[in-house]
Amino acid sequence: MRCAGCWPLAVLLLAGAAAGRSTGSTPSEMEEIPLVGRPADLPFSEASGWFTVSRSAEPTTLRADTPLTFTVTVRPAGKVVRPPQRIDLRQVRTFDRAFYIEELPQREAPLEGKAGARSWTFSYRLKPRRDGVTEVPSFPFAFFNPDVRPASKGFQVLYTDPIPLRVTSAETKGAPIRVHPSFYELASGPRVLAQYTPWGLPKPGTVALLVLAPPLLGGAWYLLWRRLWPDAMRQAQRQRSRAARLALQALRGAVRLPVPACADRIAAVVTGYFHQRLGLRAAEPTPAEAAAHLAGGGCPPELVGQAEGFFKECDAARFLPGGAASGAALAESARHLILAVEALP
Amino acid sequence: VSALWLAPLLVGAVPPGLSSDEVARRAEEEFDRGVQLQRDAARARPHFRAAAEHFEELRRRGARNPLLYRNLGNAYLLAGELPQAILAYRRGLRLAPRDAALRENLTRARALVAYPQESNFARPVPDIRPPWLPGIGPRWLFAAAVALYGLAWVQLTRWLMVRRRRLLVLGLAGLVSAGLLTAVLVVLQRSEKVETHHPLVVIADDDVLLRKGNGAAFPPSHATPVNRGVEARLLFARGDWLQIELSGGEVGWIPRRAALVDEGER
Repeated sequence: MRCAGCWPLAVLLLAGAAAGRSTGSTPSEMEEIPLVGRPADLPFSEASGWFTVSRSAEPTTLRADTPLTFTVTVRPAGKVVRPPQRIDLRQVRTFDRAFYIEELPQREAPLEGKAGARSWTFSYRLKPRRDGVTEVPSFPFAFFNPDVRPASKGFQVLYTDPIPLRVTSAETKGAPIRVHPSFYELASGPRVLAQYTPWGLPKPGTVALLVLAPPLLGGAWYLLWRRLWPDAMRQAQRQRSRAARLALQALRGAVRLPVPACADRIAAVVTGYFHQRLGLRAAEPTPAEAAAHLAGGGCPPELVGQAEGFFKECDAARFLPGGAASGAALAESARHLILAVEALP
Repeated sequence: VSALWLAPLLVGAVPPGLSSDEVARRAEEEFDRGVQLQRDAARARPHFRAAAEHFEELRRRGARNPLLYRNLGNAYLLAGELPQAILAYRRGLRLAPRDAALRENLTRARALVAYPQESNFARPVPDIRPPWLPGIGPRWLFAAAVALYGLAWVQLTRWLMVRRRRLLVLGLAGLVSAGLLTAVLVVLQRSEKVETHHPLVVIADDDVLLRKGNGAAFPPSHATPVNRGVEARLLFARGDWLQIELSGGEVGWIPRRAALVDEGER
């Protein structure tokens, strides 16, 4: 059993007693229970004085459709100005929600060992509303303590401990279980016995290895590639020129065209590249004009000859059908020519 | 904790010395008997309860998988033990978050909970994820992140060799994707940690009032009581009282005996 605010109550009790003496209150005034300060959400017992409360329930294991007897006994713990009246349990929400409540006769009996003192016993018949009820809840006994001043603070509530119950099902015989058919599905076999291992993040060492391994392997691969294929590396470096990269990209597209158009396109691509890289002005240079421009630009004689030969091949493909090189061969010659120019210092 | 106070009811129901296969077989037999008697709930429920006790015995012996939890949840629900059923489905969904059967049964079980009318108080947060969206577990997320990270470095190395912009773009995109997957993984792991530190609580009684302190003398923190089957998170335990947080963020204390707590599953 617990007393809400017992410590402050003791202090207030002394203060209230002193106040009562100093103001010279009459006994009739002391018996008055003020209206202000009464617990708003709990039924009031109309008791005034000092009290203790105990409770019992019988039986504590029952079916939902059978009743139990709940008994509350109030005993005086000091002077009693007014005796307690029966509390309507239906006004206590926790009781009303869990039980059908019926009041039984109350008893008043002399207290053993204390002359003139009495105890008050209130009994109720409680019937669980359903089989989910697991306890008789706390019983709140609200009373007034006339020794506390101001009077509006004299209202106290004692709570009894809950009483655990075991209420079994009270289903009507023959009533079916009405649930969705999916609840009747049952899995069977060894999978039901399986032990699922929850996944967890790998250890920090493993995570570090997973993070570091790809860049390290990539670096090793790059170094190996450079060592094994140095030409390929130089070739790649040559292709860094934007004009060369665009020209090489255009060459890949030109191969798909028929031979005369392909030769036309490849010659235009190389001319455009020479225009951007070496300042060639002619839109459709003859082999001699292209060779002269390169020679004038300081290109080595081999490169000049390579360029002249390339343009001659293009002209042959464009104007001498049947005896000319294929589109792929022309594209390859153009690629070599471009890379040779890119290799110039 | 719930298992501890349920233990006196359960221990002894399953004869000792049985192999796990035998326990599983008996559980199925009890379940089948219950199904045969489903037209008479009073006679069927004890068989479903016995089936649940046998499935619990398997769980105590270390079996943990979504199928076992689905069986356990179904047996409890048919036995009329709604809170235990919801707890079993939730435990199964922790192992397999996208298990369609578990999710459906949990939704149907929640429909049996008496939530307050015309209010979202104590109702579980609805799952906004569309059901057709495939769920990827942390294991696969991690594998995908590692694979993407490795591929990204292959692309970047090739870019270093041939200097093609496409390879650079692919490599950087791979790194970003791997980073995003890792972030999702970290979030999942953190939420898992939160679940471990603040385990699931299922209210086991009707009309349980959330109080402002750990005692019946404290006033209610919310006027509306919660009923059996309501789910919450455990914030703190003190003596015989638990501080819980409902889905809407409402916090209050309830008696320990009025709740099932999902503790000690891992």
